[in-house]
Amino acid sequence: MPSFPDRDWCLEVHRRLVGGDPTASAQVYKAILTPLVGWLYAQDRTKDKELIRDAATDALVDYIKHPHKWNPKLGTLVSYICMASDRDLLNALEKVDRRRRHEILTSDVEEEQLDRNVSLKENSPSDFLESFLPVLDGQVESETDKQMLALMLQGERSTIKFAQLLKIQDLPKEKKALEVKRNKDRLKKIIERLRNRLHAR
Amino acid sequence: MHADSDLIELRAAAARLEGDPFFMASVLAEYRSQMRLNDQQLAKALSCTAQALTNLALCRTPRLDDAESFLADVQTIAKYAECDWRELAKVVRTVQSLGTLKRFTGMPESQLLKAARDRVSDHKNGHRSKRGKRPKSRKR
Repeated sequence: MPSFPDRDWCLEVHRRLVGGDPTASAQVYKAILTPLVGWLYAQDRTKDKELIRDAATDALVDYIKHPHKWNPKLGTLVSYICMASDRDLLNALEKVDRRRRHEILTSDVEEEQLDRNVSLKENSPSDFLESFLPVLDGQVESETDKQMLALMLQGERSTIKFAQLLKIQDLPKEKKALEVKRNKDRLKKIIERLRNRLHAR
Repeated sequence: MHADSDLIELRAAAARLEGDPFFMASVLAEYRSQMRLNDQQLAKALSCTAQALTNLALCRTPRLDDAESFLADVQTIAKYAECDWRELAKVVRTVQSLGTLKRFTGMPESQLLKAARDRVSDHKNGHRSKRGKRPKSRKR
């Protein structure tokens, strides 16, 4: 695996970057990008190459544009950039996860078409989730319901898991499925009502 | 010496920066698109290798505050990327001028360039049009 440049090299390129050398950004890229991408892979947070490359690029661009953010007294340039890129990667992964959860939630509710007269306005996933999830949590009091919602948000489709939560795993298969569906429908109605209320604001 | 995988990584990074005016990648991308050039043609125009274009793309765009800073930056970048600084200066100035014209006229850059090319060919063909009028033979 390619290695990161040493401390002296980093201090020198930092000095040139701050001094306005237009080639310093290219030198930072050439020396740090590949080992940084390798380091991010090794953290094993994701296998998504694009997300890793984006996080590495974002961290380098941020440093190149704002070199004063790095304080050499607090740590090495390499550790600063590694931490920044790791943070960017975690943020990106969280965003992907939120989008995925939103898609599951939306498809779950829209699949059922609980009320065909209600037209749903389109919201961006982040707007929707930011305003929606905390309110949703407040709407559901029972711990079982909260756990069921968590499973639904994770995209869980197995009736057995829901049945275990509802403590009805011993019921006959058909009755079990009906009871799980009834509870899921009830929660979906809460989601739908809440969503309509938020859209109406 | 960089391995092939490093070069691929750097090339991908340079492509990611094409939308960021802070980097030379945006200038090169704009020039390449306006002049309808590929990498080889652009490298030839700048008297450098295609690989040097990646180094060039990762540099900061020259300061445009004053002629002295501009010249100093262009020469530093050209020396680093091993290309012709005069040609590089022309490329940067062309992209800068097109950007300025676009802001003032609101005209798409492609039309501005077409107008500029037409004017050059008119001069070469010996057309003399009155101010504000186009020659009748001119195709739209």
